[in-house]
Amino acid sequence: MDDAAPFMLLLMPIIWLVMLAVIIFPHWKIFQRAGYSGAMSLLLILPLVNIIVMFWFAFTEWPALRGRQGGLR
Amino acid sequence: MNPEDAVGAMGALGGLLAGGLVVVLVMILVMAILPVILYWKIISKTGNAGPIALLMLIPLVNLIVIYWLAFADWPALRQAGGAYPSQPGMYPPPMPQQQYPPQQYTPPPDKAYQQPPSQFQPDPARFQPPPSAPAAQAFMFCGNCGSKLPAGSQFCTNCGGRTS
Repeated sequence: MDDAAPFMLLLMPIIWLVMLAVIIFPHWKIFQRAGYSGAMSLLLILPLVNIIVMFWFAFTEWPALRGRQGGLR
Repeated sequence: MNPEDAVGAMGALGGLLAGGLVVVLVMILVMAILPVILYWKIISKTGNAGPIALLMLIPLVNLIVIYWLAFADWPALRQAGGAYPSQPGMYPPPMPQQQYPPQQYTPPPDKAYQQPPSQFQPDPARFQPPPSAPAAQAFMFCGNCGSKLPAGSQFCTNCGGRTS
């Protein structure tokens, strides 16, 4: 158990980075397709900001859907 | 330890536990329900079925949902024809934007605008022409530079030369 501790300490940031990349990448694509900059997905790294960003993204008009004819606006 | 004290300590511990439980429950609710609400909205905005967001409740499936959303077809974009107008294989294909050249309308000569004949005829008995300007002008112009000077000036205040 004592031997595993430094190994885990090294592994944790790597796992964290991989998880981050796995989360950021699809959101980058989603933001881009909605007509926003993909770099906005980097805000999802920040703990409370991510909730605000997702709220904002869910409830604003997307530039890519602006020219939509009929139906919801 | 008195029995009363023990009971009091138990009660305090119970309260603390209950409080912690409530906090944890609220956190679980927020962390589980909030993504469902937000992604429901986002997925329905893309033109897909909002209830797909319920899959966000399942631990690894939520990642699959996010990746699916990133790469799946967005029917709303097809209607918009906005962000990806040149996407190949789009059905229905985007409507071609008809560009009309700017046109200047010039009416034919017989329909061109003509000044209507004036209906106003001044009554010579009542109309007095304005008195003509006084003969003696209160100013003159410099012969060199043309600036306006008081009458009778010999030198120009602008260029300094003689006015004549």
